[in-house]
Amino acid sequence: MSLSALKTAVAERIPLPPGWRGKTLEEQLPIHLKTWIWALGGTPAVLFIVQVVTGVLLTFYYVAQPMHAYESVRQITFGVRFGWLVRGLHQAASQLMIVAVLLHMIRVFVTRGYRRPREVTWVIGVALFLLTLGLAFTGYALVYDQLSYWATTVGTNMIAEVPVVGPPMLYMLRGGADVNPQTLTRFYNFHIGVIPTIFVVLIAGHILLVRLHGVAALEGDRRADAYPFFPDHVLREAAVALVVLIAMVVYVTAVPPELGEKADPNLTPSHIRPEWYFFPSYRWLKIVPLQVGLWTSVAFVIGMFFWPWTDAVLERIVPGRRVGTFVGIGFWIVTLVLLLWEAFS
Amino acid sequence: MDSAANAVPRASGSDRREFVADLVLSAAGIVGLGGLATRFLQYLYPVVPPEQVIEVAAGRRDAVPANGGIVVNLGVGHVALVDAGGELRAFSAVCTHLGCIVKAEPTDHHALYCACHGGMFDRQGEVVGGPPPRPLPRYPVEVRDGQVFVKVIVRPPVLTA
Ligand code: FES
Repeated sequence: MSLSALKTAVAERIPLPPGWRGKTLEEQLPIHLKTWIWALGGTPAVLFIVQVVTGVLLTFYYVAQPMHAYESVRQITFGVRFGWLVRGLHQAASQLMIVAVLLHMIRVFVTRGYRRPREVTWVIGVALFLLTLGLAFTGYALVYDQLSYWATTVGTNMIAEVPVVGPPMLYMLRGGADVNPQTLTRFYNFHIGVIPTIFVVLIAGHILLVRLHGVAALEGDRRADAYPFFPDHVLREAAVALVVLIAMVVYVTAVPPELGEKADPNLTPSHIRPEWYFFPSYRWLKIVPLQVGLWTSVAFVIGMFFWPWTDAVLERIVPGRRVGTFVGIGFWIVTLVLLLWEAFS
Repeated sequence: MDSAANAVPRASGSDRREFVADLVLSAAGIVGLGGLATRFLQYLYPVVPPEQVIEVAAGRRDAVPANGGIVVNLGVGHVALVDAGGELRAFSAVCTHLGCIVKAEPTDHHALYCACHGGMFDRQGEVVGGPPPRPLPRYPVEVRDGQVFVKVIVRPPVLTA
């Protein structure tokens, strides 16, 4: 069979509409994208794939039961061949994922890529960010060492403080009134089932919207040049992905994953601390009363979701001054200060 | 009447029937799927047993140092035993902030300390520092033959491991 005959045969079985290449692969992108920093949007997606692959591998040995969870993680880390690599990559990628998502969000925020008509893309993005934190939190709980156990206890207890819906939500999440054997099963399920499923749907929606809207020209950039999505941009993304992968493998090889002491529900360790990405909220919870901490967190999340509209209103009140950007930068600075404060205390 | 009927020619019959059909179908869908969804939620919602008060032995009275305190794990929960000038008091040792276990740390300022966010409680169980919003719940305590007995409130677990 000749090549063209094969092509025809495939085209007949998979009848893509004519011109699909131009619409999807060869879309012209504004020239400002041709800087490396704009190739970061795809990094979270690449990391997500890393998480799916390593995560599936981890499930082959992980046992989601309080009696065995810690032991199984130990087995993976120190027993199973290349277990340290798989777990190390999963851990490293989860941290990088948060960094990548944050960088992407900051980039979109500063260039105001969320403005009309792209609000929904932003909203989905915020949801993805929160789910990323959810994945990190539930995943951390599964390790079942001292820090992970107590971080889970403290983290979930916050929910109980929400009036009316709080306690039932907490019961639902924990599978009981306290952290109990059911809790681990539920967290496991959230981590590998519920959240990833929603995640995939949202990623698809996010990317679809990005492609449907096309890439906005940069504010103040007059260059009219363009370059194609495929292969140019895809290659750039691929290069970034490769560098990230190599860096992770090198890092994990140099600093293999560790494991703390086994979780002891009877003993709160004297130095408990969540992972670094929860430092800002952790520090915040230390310095303000619980209800204040809770409601400011809720306000923060709502504020993020509605940011495109808030910014538009601010723009209308004080045109041309980019008040919104300053408000946002203020928030970033506060967050950073809280993070560093916790990190160096 | 007539003009209205003319303005929307042949609107009527089949359109209305279709509209009603759509309405019935949507309602059936909402009721059906909603019903199923509530069942699924009920399936997920744990049956939470009611709280019970039980009396448990909590070690010997002389294990609690004068004007000091200890935190004991009674299997059914953690209890802080505090000595206040000879009087023995028992509190839940679960921090009212976000649920860590407090530890005894007798100073002039406080008697119990929570490492998680730096919560501090005095010998009355009152908050004297840090973010906890409420005092520690106090439990009735009794000493019989040098043995400490505490009446604690417990909630049996939903499923045991
Ligand atoms: S849990 Fe005790 S101070 Fe936060």
